Amino acid sequence: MYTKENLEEKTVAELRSICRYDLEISGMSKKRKDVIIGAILDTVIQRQPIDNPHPVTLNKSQEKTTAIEASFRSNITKPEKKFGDRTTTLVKVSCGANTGDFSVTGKKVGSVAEMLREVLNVDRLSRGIVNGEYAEDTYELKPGDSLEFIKDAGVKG
Amino acid sequence: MNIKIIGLGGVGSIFSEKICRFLNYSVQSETNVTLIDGDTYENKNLERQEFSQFGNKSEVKKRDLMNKFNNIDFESFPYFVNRENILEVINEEDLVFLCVDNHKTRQIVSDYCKDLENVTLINGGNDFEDGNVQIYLRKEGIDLTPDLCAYHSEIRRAEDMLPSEMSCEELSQSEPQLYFANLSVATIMCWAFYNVTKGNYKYSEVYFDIPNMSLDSKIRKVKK
Repeated sequence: MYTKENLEEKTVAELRSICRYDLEISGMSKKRKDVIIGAILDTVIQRQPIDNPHPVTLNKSQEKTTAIEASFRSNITKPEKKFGDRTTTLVKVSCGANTGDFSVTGKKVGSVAEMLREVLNVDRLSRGIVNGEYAEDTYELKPGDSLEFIKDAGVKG
Repeated sequence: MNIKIIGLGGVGSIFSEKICRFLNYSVQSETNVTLIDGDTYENKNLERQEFSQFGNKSEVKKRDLMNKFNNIDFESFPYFVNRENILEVINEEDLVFLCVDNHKTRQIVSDYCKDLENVTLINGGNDFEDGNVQIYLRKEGIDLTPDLCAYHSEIRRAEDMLPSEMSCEELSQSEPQLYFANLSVATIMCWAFYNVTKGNYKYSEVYFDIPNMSLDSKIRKVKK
């Protein structure tokens, strides 16, 4: 149950998360804290159930699902999968000690080198290695691939 | 266990101290350590290198380590490694630590190890604020991890000169280095040694980057 007091104890990020995921209130991403709290309280009041004049006890299998806790991490859908069948499409890309997960599935190794040149400090002459083996610049990345651009070995010692 | 430490500069002078402490107190088997470097310890090395007195690095370090660790047999080889003398330096079954400051020596040592049946070569190098360590393992004539040149064309086509080919003036002009980068390489080489002795060579290369406070280990397949 949301009250003004317990909402005021939350951070703006937490309040925005309540709006977005719990109550599905849109347009709160740039609003001030007091505006967000007002919107939450208004929504809660509007959505309070009216006393049911004909209560029915449901069988276990018919019981309404009240909440689902789930975490999805997906940017696009696999082309070969059915519509709406979401999947992780991130590829680990690294150069030397710099590394990150990027949404580059379907892109070619050569274009990823250009795209991430400044982010990962990829040398212009650096070759790409996919899953531990040299790959051509035209290789198309698949979900779960690991792409490395070779960084020169340290010279001094 | 026969250990060869080639290069006793910023990395080698630190690494030899750390690895010998471990070998002296934590390893049961008979250990022989050969220290190899033709260079001289002098004033300009004070900020990054650990020696008790001036003189040839391999000989001074041998004396330093003998005084600290009496369970290890030490030898010195006061010359720079080149294609001619490498036969005297590296033998079958050796565990070689390469801590040099040029790719030409790395290329020579890697190529030589490729012709041996059983050898372990751990190479470290750094630039100013970053660096890497490579593990090359060869058993019964088969590469278990890629050699130093396999994924590093800059080592395969090394264009720098061997220290033995350089004049005194060229030798004295070295690029600035960060002590902590040397220290990082020495530490990761110790990790590599520990993992190899445990039979773990999944990761054959490790990179570090000091400004980003990051480190990443790489799995590389052996080229057929």
